[in-house]
Amino acid sequence: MIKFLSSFFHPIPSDYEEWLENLALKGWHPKEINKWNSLVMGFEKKGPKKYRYVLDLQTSYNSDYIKVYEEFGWELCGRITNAFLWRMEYDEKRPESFTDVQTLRERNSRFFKAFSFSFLFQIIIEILITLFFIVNINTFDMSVLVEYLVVLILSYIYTIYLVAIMFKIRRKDW
Amino acid sequence: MQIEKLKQSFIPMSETMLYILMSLTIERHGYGIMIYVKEITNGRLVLGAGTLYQTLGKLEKGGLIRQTIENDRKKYYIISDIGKQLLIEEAKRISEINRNLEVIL
Repeated sequence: MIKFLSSFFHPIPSDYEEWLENLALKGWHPKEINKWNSLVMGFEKKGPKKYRYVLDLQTSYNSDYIKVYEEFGWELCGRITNAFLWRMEYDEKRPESFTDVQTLRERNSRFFKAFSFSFLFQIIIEILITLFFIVNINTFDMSVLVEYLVVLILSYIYTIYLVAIMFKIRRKDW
Repeated sequence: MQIEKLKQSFIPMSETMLYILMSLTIERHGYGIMIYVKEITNGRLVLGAGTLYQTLGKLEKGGLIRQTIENDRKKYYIISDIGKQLLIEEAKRISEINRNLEVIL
């Protein structure tokens, strides 16, 4: 089974974790974790398992990071760019990696900052393209004008999507 | 003064941070810290890997703990002199709260 654009449909860390856990209960497990999983993610059918998945964004980490998680019984599935995906099989109580509110907020804050950076980059590019469009509007013929408008509208829709995610992270997981 | 700046940053401490700092009055590594805290809280506080790693990072960055040795890829930590000062400050603060709350009980 292949899932497309998983990070776009489940951008909130806790939602992404729950999505993977629900698939695991149905017997679907990720084949390989890599930087392309945001766009394409392959799953293979095995037995249903109760897994706790944890997504942890770490842009800089020391040599202790992986060792600490492994000592606690977590299995490293792989990395989706800077996000480590961990999992642990369990029977009764769902295990947690972030056991206090402050460190959980800090984990979510790292995702919030990553989305903020994308948003800022996006809005700067959009403003420049919009200005270019306005300044040169009289030089375009109708077909080029329509193309530019479509691209601009799609781009602004994506920006609104990024803002919605940032609000949702603050409201739900903060 | 550095200690005053650190007091502003670290006090009041979260329960997690307080217990981790307390556990490092003796040299320990990450998993050992979790076991110790679980024991002294009778299983109430079980630290997660992410929480422990992040909190150790903050304490080390602030100079409240320092790394001692790295053995079998495990990093060992111990509380620093500044860390001991802040732990005593926090213990005094909590004791004062405890005394004042006894009236209610």
